Amino acid sequence: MPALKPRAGLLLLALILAAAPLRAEIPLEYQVKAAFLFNFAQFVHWPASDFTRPQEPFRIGILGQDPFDGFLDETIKGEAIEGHPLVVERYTDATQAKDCQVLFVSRSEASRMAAILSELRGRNVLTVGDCDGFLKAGGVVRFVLEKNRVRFRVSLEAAKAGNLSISSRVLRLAEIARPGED
Amino acid sequence: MKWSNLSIRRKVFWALLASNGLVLFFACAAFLGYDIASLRKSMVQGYLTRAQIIAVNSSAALAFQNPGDAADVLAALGADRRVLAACLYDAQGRVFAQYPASAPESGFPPPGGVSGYRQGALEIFCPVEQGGRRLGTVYLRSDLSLLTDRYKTYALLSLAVVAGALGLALLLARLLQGELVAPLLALARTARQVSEKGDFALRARRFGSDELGGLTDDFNQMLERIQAQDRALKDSEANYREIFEKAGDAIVVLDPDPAASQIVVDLNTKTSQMTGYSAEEFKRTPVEKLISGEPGSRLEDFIRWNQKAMTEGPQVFEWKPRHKDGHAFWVEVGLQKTTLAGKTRLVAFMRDIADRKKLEEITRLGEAQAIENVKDYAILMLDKEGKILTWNRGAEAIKGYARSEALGKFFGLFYLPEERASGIPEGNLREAAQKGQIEIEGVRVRKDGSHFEADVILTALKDEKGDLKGFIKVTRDVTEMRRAQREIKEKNELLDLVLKNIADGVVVADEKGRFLLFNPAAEKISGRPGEGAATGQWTEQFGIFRSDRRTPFPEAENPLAVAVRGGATDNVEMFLRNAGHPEGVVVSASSRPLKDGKGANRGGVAIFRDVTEQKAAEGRIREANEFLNATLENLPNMVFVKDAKDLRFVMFNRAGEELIGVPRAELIGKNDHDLFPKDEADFFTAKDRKTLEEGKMVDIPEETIQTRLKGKRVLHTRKIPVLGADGKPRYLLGISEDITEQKKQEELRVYTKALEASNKDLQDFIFVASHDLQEPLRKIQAFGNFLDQEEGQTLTPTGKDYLARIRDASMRMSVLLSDLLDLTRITTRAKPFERVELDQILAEVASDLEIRLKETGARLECEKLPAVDADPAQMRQLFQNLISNSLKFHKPGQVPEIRVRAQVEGGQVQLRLTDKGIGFDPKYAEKIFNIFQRLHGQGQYPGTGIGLAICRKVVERHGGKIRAESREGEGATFVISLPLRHHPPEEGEVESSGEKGGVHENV
Repeated sequence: MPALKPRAGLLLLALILAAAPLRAEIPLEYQVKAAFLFNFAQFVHWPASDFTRPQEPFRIGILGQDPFDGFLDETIKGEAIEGHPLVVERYTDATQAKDCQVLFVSRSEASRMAAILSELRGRNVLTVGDCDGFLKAGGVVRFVLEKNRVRFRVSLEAAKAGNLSISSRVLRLAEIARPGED
Repeated sequence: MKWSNLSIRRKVFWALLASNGLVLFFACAAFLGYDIASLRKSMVQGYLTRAQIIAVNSSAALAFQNPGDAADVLAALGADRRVLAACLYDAQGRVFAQYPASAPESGFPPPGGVSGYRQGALEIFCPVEQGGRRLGTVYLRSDLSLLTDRYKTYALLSLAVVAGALGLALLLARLLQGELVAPLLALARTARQVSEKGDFALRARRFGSDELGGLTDDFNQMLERIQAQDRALKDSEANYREIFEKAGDAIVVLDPDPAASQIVVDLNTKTSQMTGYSAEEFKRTPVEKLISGEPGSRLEDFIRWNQKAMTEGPQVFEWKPRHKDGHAFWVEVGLQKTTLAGKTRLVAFMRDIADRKKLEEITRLGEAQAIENVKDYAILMLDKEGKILTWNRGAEAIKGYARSEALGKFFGLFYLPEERASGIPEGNLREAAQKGQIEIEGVRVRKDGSHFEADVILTALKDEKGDLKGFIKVTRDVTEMRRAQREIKEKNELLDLVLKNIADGVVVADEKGRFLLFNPAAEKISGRPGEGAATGQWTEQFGIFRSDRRTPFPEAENPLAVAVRGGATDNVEMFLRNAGHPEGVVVSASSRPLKDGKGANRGGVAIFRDVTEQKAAEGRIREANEFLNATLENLPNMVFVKDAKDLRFVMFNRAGEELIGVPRAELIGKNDHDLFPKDEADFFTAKDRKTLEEGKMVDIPEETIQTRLKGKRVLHTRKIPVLGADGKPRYLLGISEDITEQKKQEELRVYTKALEASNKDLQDFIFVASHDLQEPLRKIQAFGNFLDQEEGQTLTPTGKDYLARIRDASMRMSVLLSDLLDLTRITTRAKPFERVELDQILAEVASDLEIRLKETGARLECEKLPAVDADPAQMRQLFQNLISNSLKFHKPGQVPEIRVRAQVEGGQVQLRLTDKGIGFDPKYAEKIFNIFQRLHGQGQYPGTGIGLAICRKVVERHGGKIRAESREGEGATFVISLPLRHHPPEEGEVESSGEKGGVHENV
């Protein structure tokens, strides 16, 4: 029998608040970021044309080295966004990432960041990264650490270019980066 | 003062006041109740809406863990002073944000409560959800000041309305009193006068035409009626005497007391006329005049009838008294008990019935005629000898003879000839004469010779003296009836036979639940006979339980009880355990009600059978299935089953589910093309087809499969066709073993083997090289020495310098070669481990290095060291290298200090060797153990860069670890962990190391 999957929200909080002793080997910071990636999927609206059929998976991509160590897979296991089952895909090249909905650009790709983001320009991809200069290079969301808590900055310009509408409830929690800011 | 004693004036006043007050009170209460209820409802709705707004606004804050933002959302509640507190719980039910910020966290109830009023406040709980996921809960608490304000307003308003209305009612009551009460008082006055004077001619005065006017009229009419009745009573005395005398019947009033002096109390003139005696004569000797002495009219009969009338009520009977002139005559007497002027009396009404008696005579003649006309029965009169005297139509119809043919013949005519010959007719006559009446069943003969079955009643007729006069014979043709009875009997017997022999238990009960039928199978299955079983106690008497074998079966649900009540059941499972079945039996019962033609319930029938074996077999099959399923579920290999028709999956075990990475529910019903890339799916399907076509197992040693979570996996799969009952493949069973890791291990093994070979080649090379290089080196050193000793004086200073350099270099090379040999020998000259006292080893090393220790004046401090399983020579080498190292790198101008400490923990010993030498940059901590790695120039600190490499190799061979901790200029610490114990080395290892040693010795 398949075990009942914990609701992702519960899992996320359990991990953040109980300091997740079962997953001590990956830093708490990335556990939180994995949960935030799943949350973005819920609070951001993609154009309907992004999905050609109802059961098409909702893809969360990781470009470059995976810092989540399977934790992201665990977080989205069995979850679905408006009927699209969530899957995690790992890419080595930006061209593979064109059809995903959320793309996490790993630190390992910091040097190729500009090329990656220009490759994805005009695609409906919510690009998320945690390297300095990510928004400047055209990324949509950048994770920042603030008083030891994970916060995020959003480039509305980049979101608009990707035809993504981000819920005002999320924008209220984010710092909005003006064009050219990082 | 009691209410009933109050004057009407006061009663009217209070009644008005009370009715007004009550109406007002209920009106106010209803209005107030409705308004408060709707206010409470709208208050809940209002705050619920507010909570929902907060829930929507705070969903992101919860999801992204931003309590600050959530607190901002809650702070907006400050606009409503009625909101006492509010908070936001996360999904674990912890308080995530709160309002006001200063509220104590313990003041919030656990989340998941129900919205509503409690403890003088309104509490609202509202879930926070996003995309159907529960993120938390909003809690909101408001005080009830809105409600209490409203209550106060209503109380004041109601008070004012009630006071005003009561004032008005008071005024009205005063006005009405005069109107209502005055006529009543007048009426009461008149009534008092009538009762005091007994004058019914008085009349009350009428005031108006309302109810009081009507009451006055009724009172006056009543007075009139009483006046009339008073007159009528006086007339009725006279009337009674008139009626008594003029009545058509003779009437006699008797005293029923046997001791009474005068038995006849009164009689009318008609009695005197009927009997011929005057009233005086009658009263003197009454009894002789009322009885005649004929049978039925004697003195004892007179007494009997009197008693009967006294005890059993009115009696009517015929009686024969005697007239004064001596003739007896028939009367009908009606005798009944009555009370006259307070005394118990019997009144006898006597009517002359001479005419009726005549009529009865005629009627008797009519009966004979009636017999003549009876058609269904042959009724004949016989004389004493059996000769036929009368013949009716029935006789003619049944026996076929006309009256003229039958009269005068002996009745034996109808008997069978053989019966007639043996004198049976005469015998029957004798028996009837003796017993009075006999009944005979037998076959009789008609005139045409045909037979019929007859029921005969033969009655002897005797006169009053008991002399036989003749016989009456009544015969009925029962041929048809008997045939029908026989048929019914046969059917019943068949039914009985069926019920006795069928294997199913059949029980029939009537509408009261009494057993009408309980067949042998029922007895066998239920374990006891049906007799003596009482309705309503079946459960106890038969030991009936539910299928759990413990709960007594409710009597009302018993199938037979259900059927008796008019219901029906099918296949009810019960468990019976009683003296007949100590082990118990499982019984399956069905029942139906029995209805008659009009649909009325006449009882019920239950049919049941023993299904113990069947149940046990089902249980065994289920157990076997569960066992098989559990086995399949827990197999580490993937097991799946496909339908042979369309190759869709019908079964998957847990290992399969985990391997493919898709929940079972999504796998079932899919085929390979739904789940896997096309090339893989094509391959799988081709193998499936092959297996099904060949009808035998196909082994696929390797196949790759793309899984969702584990990437590409390599499987070893066996596919087996599972045949159906028709011998054709019905299912395809697949068993797959994940051999990905195995494959990797195999590759790794091959690689390791190659690495080992090349490593060995290298070691051999180093050994041979260093061994063989020693030889020419020794020559260089030897000849260098010769040159120095013999030709030293002739050399120029430059030549001497060159020579010294050659000797120095060759010396260093020799050391290098010997170090290299040591390094290779760690593995090639390895010896089996033995128990080694590290204390002793360290002491030996100290004594070997004694000269250098003395030279440098070094201090060597050492704690007590434990014993370990080790190669003693290598341990010696380890300590020697480390201590030499510390001595070498001491700070110039300072006495070297070396400390060795040991700590035993968890089967390991940790040795710390600390010096106060020059130390090194920590970034070289790993590098220094590499071969040929040196941090200093040859001139500064001589060395080959092999010493620490040897140390590491030794420690690693012993299953331990070595590392160095240091800072530049602050000394260094070498930390060595070694296991205290080693398992005895396997034989192969010992042998191979010995062998290697031998080979190298030869070299």
